[in-house]
Amino acid sequence: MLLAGVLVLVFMSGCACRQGMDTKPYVQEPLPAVADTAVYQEPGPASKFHLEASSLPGVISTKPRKHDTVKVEKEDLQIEPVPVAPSKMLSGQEPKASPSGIDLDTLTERLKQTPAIGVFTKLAIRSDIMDLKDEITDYRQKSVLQSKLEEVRSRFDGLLMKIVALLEDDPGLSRDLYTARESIWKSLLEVST
Amino acid sequence: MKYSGLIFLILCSWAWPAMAVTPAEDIATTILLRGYDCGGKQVRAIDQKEDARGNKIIRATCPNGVRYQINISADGRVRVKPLR
Repeated sequence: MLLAGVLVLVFMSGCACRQGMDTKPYVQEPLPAVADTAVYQEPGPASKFHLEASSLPGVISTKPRKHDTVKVEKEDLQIEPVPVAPSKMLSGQEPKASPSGIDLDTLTERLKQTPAIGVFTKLAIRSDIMDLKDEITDYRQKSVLQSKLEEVRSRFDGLLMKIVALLEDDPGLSRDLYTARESIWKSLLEVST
Repeated sequence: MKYSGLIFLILCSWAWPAMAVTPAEDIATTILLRGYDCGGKQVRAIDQKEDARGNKIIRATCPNGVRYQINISADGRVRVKPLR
C-alpha cells in the first residue's frame, strides 16, 4: 500500500517535471498576407468572434499591431437546421428524450420514486399538473391558447420552480427537471391536444 | 479494515430513515404548496378518514394553531381548506 503511494508520487512528480521542461516562450510568426487585409471591427454584436492574437497565453508578440484581429463572419457560423422526426409522444411508442438527453418517462418515474417528497405532496403536484393540462385543453378548445400562452407558461414555470425547490434533498433529479423544462413544456402542449 | 464495510452498512441503514419524509412534514408541505401559511415544517394532531368511495379526508393542526382539512379524491385531486 505504502509502496504504491510512493510510486504514484514519483510518477506524478515526473509528469510535473516534464510539463515544466516543455514550457518555452512562443514567438509569434508574422501573419500571412490574408490577416493584413482583414478589417478591424469594433466589438459589437455577439454573432462575431474577435480573437486577439496577443491576448493568447504564452504568446509574445514581436510587433503589436492593431489589425491582428481574426475575424469570423456571421455567415460562417450559421448552422444547417437538422430535420427532426415528428413526435410520437401521443402514441407513447417511443421514449421521450429531451435535447439534453434526459428521458421524460424516466424523469417521471424518478419523481414518483424519490424519497425527497412525501406521498401527499406528490399527489398535490400531480393535481397541479392535471389542472394545468385541463386549462391548456380548455384554452385550445376555445381557440385562445395562443393569446393565453404566456400566462400558461408563467404558471408552468411557477409550478416547476415549486417542484425544483421541494426536491432539495434530491439535487440530481432537481437539476435534471430544470434542464429538461423546455421538453416538459413541449410535451405538455402536445399531450393536451 | 475488516469491519469497515459492516460499519458503513450500519451507518447507511441508520441514516436512511432520516431522508424519508414523515407524514407530518408531508402534510405541512402540501398545505404550503397550496399557498396557505402553516408556521412550521410539521403539523400535529393528524386525523385521517377514508370513505367507501376512496376519498380521503385529513385534518391536521399547524404549529401556528390553524387547522386545515385536506381532501384527496379517489382520482388523486388534492384540495386544502382552512377550518374555522
